[in-house]
Formats: sequence, structure tokens, C-alpha cells
Amino acid sequence: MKIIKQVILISFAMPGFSGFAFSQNIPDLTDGFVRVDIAGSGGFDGLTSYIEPAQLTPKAQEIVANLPGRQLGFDYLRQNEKPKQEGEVYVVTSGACNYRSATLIQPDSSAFFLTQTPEMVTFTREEAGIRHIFMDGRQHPSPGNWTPNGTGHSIGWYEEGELIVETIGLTPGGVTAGGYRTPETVLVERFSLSEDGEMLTINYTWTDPEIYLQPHNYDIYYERLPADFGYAYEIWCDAGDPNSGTSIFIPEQL
Amino acid sequence: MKKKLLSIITLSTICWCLNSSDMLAQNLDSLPSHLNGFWEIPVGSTSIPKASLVDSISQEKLDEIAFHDARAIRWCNMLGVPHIMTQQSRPLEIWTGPNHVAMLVLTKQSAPRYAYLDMEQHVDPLIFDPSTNGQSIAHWEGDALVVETIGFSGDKGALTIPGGGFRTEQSRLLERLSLIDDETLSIVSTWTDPGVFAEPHTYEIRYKRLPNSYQPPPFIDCNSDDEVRARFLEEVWGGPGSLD
Repeated sequence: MKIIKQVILISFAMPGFSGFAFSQNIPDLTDGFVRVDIAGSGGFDGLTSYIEPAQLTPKAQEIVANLPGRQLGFDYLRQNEKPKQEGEVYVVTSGACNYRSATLIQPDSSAFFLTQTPEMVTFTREEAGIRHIFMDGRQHPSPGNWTPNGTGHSIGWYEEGELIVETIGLTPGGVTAGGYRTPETVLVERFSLSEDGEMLTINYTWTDPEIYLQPHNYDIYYERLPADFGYAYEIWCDAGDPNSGTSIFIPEQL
Repeated sequence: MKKKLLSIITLSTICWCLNSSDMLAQNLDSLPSHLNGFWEIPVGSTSIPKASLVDSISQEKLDEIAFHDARAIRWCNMLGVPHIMTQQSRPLEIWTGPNHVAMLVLTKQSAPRYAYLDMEQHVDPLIFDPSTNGQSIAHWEGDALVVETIGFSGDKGALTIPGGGFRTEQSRLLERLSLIDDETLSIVSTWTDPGVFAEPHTYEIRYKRLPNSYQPPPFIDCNSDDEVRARFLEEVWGGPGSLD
């Protein structure tokens, strides 16, 4: 009789009996991921050094060459590393808390979180902003019914164990590895997991005949947050704090 | 006896097979989805009694909290719970995933809120940094989602609680989310905090479901450098610079 009880207990205690298990066609993207610096650059400007530069049309080359960020480059951030003479002006921030919804498309080094439901996948970070990926079979709105914004309009579906997301309607701006985008540019992302489910690869393909000579395609790699620390933190920023307006690179005063 | 044993072992083996193979693997359609969607608060759908506060809470303290909250709004801070559950600038979004429920509002002053279904206990308060949304764990009681939250910050975000009082690091919030009908969501909130409330403070807010075709408009920004906005908000508190 003791044996019978044990067999029953073992059977019902098997993993997955009462919990949720993903079917093979749907990747388990639940919870948090953080970007991995596979280039080993250790710096913001080297994170994408392994990616082939975008092949731009002549018109797009001109636009990209004149982007404000491109002109300033990372020297903008480093200007305050140099010692300053008394009275020498240098740039600090206004202290405003600027959350960049664009990083919901191409996440930076802070964690992001996915919530998968039958009709929606949401993509959030530890600060304000939500990226909606509609899984309910709807189509993109017509351009006349859409105000371009930092997250665009995304629809998604599952295909052979991957989440496929198609986005249009983004505001004009820069794209990784020298690319560019407009509201008409189409971005297709493929979210795929490693066999053990711990690594996530997002394959990005930007297509726009006005901008790219060929689709701009690259992978960015992420790892799943450890199960013990899989909950989301909350970024805090107070623009009213006098320290918020100071530079992160405090220059040496000569 | 042998026959009985054999049939039990067979039954158990079937259970084991179901557990361990993809036969039990489900798709997302099997998740509870009745709370999912975009919800807004229609005018007149709140029922908020006056909170009974402990005697030590003075009017001066309440004025201080009101000033604190005005400053948080002026400087575009994350406002947190309960503000994000009661604001009417954007719908409250609820999305039920396999191991958490996301409660989101598309404004710059709202951090995403998650209630974890797979955590039996709160994150150790020695590890968790108090935040504007606190730390929430949840479970199902029938079709109702019960969310318990602790770990609130006593100085970040908008602290005021509807009906009176304010949150502190000792506050505990219990919420019960259930459908009145397919189109109406009820959230009953109960706050307890021995330093603030003389007795548990309970109120209900009812939300209406937005149609499935709803398309969320762009993120509501908040610019603390906007002088016109700043002057407007500061006027009540004594003019320019009063909320610095």
C-alpha cells in the first residue's frame, strides 16, 4: 500500500502537472532578458562592432551623415572628461528624465520584460513605456490613420518556434550599424531561443528601397535573467533633484 | 490486490506521461484571459469612502503629503500605485501571462507594474528597494485575481491614497480584481498601515472594457522643462519656483 501511495505521489509531483508549459511552436519569452556584449567591447560604441554596416542608397547616406548624433559621436559624452579652465563652458543635461521609447525596439543595456498572452505580447523595460505587439490577427493601420512614434505599430505571430514581429510607422531616426528609418520602413524581428531557453537572439531586418540597397540584417543577443532575480526593478529619476542636472562625467577643474 | 495495484500503476504512468511529454504542453489560449484588455474609468464609477486615520496624522502632515505629490507631478516623477490604478489620462492595461500579470499605463509617469503568480512569498524586504509600485504577488481565487503588495516607497511618487491617507514603507495593499460582467471590471482595494489607518481602508473602482479594436495612441510624454506647464502647476502653490 505504501508503494501505491508513493507511485501516485511521484506521478502527481512531476513538473508541469499544475503549471503552464509552452507548446513547441511557442517560445517561452516570459520574464526578463538583458543584452549581452558579445563583441567584448565594454563600451557603448563597440556593442555593435560585429555587425555589417548598413548598405545605404546615396540619398540615405546623405541623411545619415547629417544626423545630429552622428556629427557629435561619442565625443559628445566624453567632452567633460577633459579638464576645464575656470569659466570654460561645458554641456550638462537639463536634468529632465528622458525615457527613450526607441529602446523598446532595440534595447540598450538595461533589462526588458515580455508578457505573452493570446492576443498581445507586451514589451516593457524598468521605466515608462510599453511596446504593444498585437497577436490578434489585425493588420497595420493605413498611414493616414497612424501618427509615427518611437515604438511604431507592431503585429506578431508564431512560426516554427519563433515569435515574428513586423513593425511600421516609426519616427525617422538612426538604426544600429549606420542604418536609418522612416515611417515607411518595415522592420521584421525574429525572436528565437537557444535550446536551453536561456539565450535569446533577436534577428532584425530593416527593409526600405528608399534607404537600403539591400535589407539591413543583423542579430543582437540577450540572456534570460536568473530565476532568483527574475522580477523587474523600477528605474527612478527625479528631474527636481538638483543632482539630476549634473554631468555623469564631472570634469576636473584646473 | 495485484489487479488493483496494476491499475493504479497504469493510471499513474499515464499521468506521468502526460506530465513529462508535450501532451501536456499548452498554448497560450489556455491561460486565463478574462481580465486582459484595456480598461478605463467612466465618470461616477468609483465608490470611495473617507479613510479613518490614526490620531497622530495631523492636517499639517496631510498638507506636506499634498505638496510632495504636487512636486512629483511637476517634475515628471514616476507616480506609482495607487495613482496609476486610478488615473484617467490613459486606460489601465491588464495582460495575464503564464507567471505574472502586467498592469500597465502608457504614460511617462508610470513604471510597468507586475504581479507575480509564481512567487509564493514577497521578495525579501532586505533585498527589495522600495518603489512606487511596490512588490506584488498574486493568486487566483476562482475567477478573481487577488494581488498583495508591499515594498512601497514612502517618499517616491504620488503618495496620496483615494479617500485620505498616504502610503508609507509599512503599507500593505490587497486588491481583488474580478469581472462584474464581460465589460465591467471591479477592483476592490484595501490598504492597511498601522501608522496611517485606524482601520483597513477599502474602496472600489469599476472600469469599462474598451473595444477589441482599440488602438493605443502614442505614449503621453511629460516635459519637466516645459515652462508653461511648470507655471500652471506652481500657481496653486504660490507661483514660480514654489515646487522646486
